[in-house]
Amino acid sequence: MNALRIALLLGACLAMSACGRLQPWVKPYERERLADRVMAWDRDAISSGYITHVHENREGAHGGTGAAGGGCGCN
Amino acid sequence: MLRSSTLIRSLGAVLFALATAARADVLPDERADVMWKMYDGGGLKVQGPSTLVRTNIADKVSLTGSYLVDQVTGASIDMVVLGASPLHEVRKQKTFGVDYLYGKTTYSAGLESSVENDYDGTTASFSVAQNMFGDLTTVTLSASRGWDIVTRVIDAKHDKDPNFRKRLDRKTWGLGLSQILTRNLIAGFDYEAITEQGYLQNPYRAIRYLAGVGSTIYLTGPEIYPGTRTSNAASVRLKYYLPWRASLTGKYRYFYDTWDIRAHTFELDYTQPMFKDALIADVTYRYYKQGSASFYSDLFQFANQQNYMARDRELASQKNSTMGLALTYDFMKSRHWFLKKASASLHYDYIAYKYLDFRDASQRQYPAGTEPLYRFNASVIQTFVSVWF
Repeated sequence: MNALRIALLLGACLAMSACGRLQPWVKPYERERLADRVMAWDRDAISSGYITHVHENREGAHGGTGAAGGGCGCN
Repeated sequence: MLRSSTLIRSLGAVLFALATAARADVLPDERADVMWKMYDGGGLKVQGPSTLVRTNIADKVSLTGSYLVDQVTGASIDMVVLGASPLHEVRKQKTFGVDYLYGKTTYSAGLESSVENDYDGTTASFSVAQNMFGDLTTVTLSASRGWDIVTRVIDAKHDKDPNFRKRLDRKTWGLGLSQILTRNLIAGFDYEAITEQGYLQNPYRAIRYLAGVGSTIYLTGPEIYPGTRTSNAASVRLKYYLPWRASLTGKYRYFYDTWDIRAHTFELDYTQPMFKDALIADVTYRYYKQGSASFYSDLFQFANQQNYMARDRELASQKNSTMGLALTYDFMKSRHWFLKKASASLHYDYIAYKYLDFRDASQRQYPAGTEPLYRFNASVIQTFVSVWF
């Protein structure tokens, strides 16, 4: 488990150390569609947080979704 | 009573939404949301207001605050089986977060408090998001620490058992990656590890076991959980811009933990603007499937059969499907007074839960262990108004 965490952190550090050497293959002026609001990962944080909370309180799995829920399992 | 393993996670809704955004070098919009939400299913109704506000200072600092109330009424299948009184509980949750933008890096920190009759939770979080490779890539590292206190209510007046006070500590580490792949396609990867130590069970739940060899009736006894749990979750996401100005999103998550729970989650989302962008419709389908924990059983053969014993249906084999429809109407699209725009949203989700080794023990006309498998449907409604300023 610890080895996996260390490997992930090292991978992230190596990726960061490569900054500047790679040329972006999608130029800034080509990102108009990606900036459209239909392409947002999470348009409404208040809503995504709540529905994630609903799922996680009734399932054994949690986390790793890039969004999160909250609290009440309520028996 | 909160489910302990998910208590701390709403803070991430504020922090992680920024951390996993496509860019870490721009602060999110200044915005306020006011919501009313309701969950109705399995004998329980949970409803109440929620609000989330984000404001920026000098294009460098972003402050967020949220407040949420859950009013819980009704009785779940577990409470019916144990003959417990219906619930009338209130949970209140507050969060506060700060994001600081420095060059192409965003530093985020937050605090959360969740309070109810028999469960108090406090969480602190920190994350760093870095843009790189010509802003094609955003990498996020996050960590959080949670301190929970579990107590037990012993009567309808909400008096607490003075001899019952347990602790639960939690740590999480996360790695996120958002990647622009083409001018029409973005991808995301998230990994999260969670370690928990302390009182991980629900003080009100019970196992059931056969009254004797060959018996057709059951007795109930206390659950016994391990004192630790380590969970790992990894997910990938792809979002594609369709030629007629719409988007299609696919998600998959794999989860496993040291209690031997394995789970798969699949999700497809379709987003379509309509009526000259005045209305946006989202259609969602989500499928979830998990295997049971190693110490879970619907019906033990005798008391003290194992060192650890649980009959929590969250630990049972189960699958569920969610179908969702969301509509967002922009009722103010240009600046008016100090507001830039405003919208109203209505979300409806229908969830069908089906358990594969958890039986409906309330149906006492059946011999123990032969009751029908438990299943129920739930509706989730969210309606909210959002303003940008």
